[in-house]
Amino acid sequence: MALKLISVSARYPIDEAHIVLTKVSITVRDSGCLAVVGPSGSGKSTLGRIMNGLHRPSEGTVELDNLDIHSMPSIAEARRRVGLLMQQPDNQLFGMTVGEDIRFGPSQAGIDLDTCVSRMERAMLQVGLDIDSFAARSPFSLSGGERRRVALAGLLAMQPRHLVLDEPVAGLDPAGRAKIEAVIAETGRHIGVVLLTADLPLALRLADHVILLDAGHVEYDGAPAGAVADRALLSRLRLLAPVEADVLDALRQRGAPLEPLEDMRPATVLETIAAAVLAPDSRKVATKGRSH
Amino acid sequence: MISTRHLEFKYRGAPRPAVHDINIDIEDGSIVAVLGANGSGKSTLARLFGGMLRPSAGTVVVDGVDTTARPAGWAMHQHVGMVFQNPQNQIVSTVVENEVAFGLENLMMDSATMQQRVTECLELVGMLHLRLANPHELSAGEQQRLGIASALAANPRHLILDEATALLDDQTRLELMSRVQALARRLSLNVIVITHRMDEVNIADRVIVLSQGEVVFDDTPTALFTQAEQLPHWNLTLPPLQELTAALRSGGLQVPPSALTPEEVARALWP
Repeated sequence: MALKLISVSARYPIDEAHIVLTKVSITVRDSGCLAVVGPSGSGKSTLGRIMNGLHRPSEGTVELDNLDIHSMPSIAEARRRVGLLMQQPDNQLFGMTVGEDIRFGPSQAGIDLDTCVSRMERAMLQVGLDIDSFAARSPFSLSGGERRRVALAGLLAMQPRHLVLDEPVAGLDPAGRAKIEAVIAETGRHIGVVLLTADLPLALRLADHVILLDAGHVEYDGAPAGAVADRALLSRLRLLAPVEADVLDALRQRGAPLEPLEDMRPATVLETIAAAVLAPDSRKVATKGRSH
Repeated sequence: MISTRHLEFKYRGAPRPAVHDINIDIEDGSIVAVLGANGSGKSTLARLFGGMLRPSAGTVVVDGVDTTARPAGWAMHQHVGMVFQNPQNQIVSTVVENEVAFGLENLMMDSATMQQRVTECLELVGMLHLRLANPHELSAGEQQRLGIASALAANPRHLILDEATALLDDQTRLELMSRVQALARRLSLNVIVITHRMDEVNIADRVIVLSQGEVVFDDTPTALFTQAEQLPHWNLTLPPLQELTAALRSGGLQVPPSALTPEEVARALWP
């Protein structure tokens, strides 16, 4: 039970010679956070639109629970199950009020009003928008971070199985970013989240699986910690490694006995460093080793 | 030069002014970073500089023109080029070179001069090879560079980048900033960078921090970094390495605040 892209290629509709994605295969699990990281123009946004059925690949198939989404009776069904948060939330906000905007999707899906309201309330709670303060306001009177949370709530109200987030924190200040990151971390515990971003440190804070994408090709597909191992690749992909990776490398070069990391979340990095530096045994061994 | 005196702006129905009692002089040829959290008033200030908003009180004078004098709007456009967070909102043409020429057509420029100007501006942002591309099919980074080229076409003396790098990847973002820095020097442009990203202030000669609509800091980038402990009060984050060392310290590890590179942090942890 998953969202699968099987050998998907995409070209621009106007310029057929311009290939955006080349034989990309990705499996999105039913929970957790998969980050697709690549520079501007690497094909991330196209990938997001393909996952949600907005864009039809020129080759390959997109499967949801082993069914090709383009052979489903209605593509709307695939779009309901795979929510897409666009890079510009304003592109998907149109309700007169926040509440109306969030209820819009479920009401269009034929869900009764009471259920729409309870879904709206739950979604607002999930994204940390206070119902009394926000439900009656115009989405366009809100800050960038708040508007993005409204758009996210609108998607969550559809109770999707997967959520694709295209640069969800771009342009937000630290407070706005922290709130969205918390929503992503929590959402990933229940449904499969795909994070499309050029921000590698962000991806490593949230993801349990990382794909590095360059000019439409998958260059890396594996554990988050491995994504920062090849610095030449990161440099070619124009991605900055997080400072955590630089500090770990510098510690290893000094001989600190660091355990291999499963992921690069800050808590994991801090625990690993503390374990190496504070544990008397490992330090003794290392000190002995260095004194010889 | 851009000068403000007792500048205030209040949005209709808002409980408090977005900017309040701003008194600053921005000298020609300088790069100024205006730093602040969302809602701190920095984009409002940019729009006041560009004459897009008229002050509720006080004045903005750009190169001797008071933005409150009528008709100031048109004159302002030739003094101040603005580039915003979402480049798509500024794109009006289906061919890159037409996009850059769009503003020039309104200036009644002859065709040969216009062609030359378009070529120069696309060259400045490294996009000459994309002159016949469709702007809507460019990546966000390319669209933003196109936005800068279009803003430069009218030969403004001031260029305001309002969160213009928000949608770009880190490397593209930092490259764009150094390109902007080179442009500022080469064209003697006055550049105002509106941002909340700490690493973008490095190209600036001067940093103005806004918090709740007021100027709370106005000095050099170096002076700002020595006051790093103030940043969270203004809802700004520490640079990533300093954030990591602060977390290490609160976990009981000995890392001095003077450790400013990964190697220095590693040396402190594993001497």
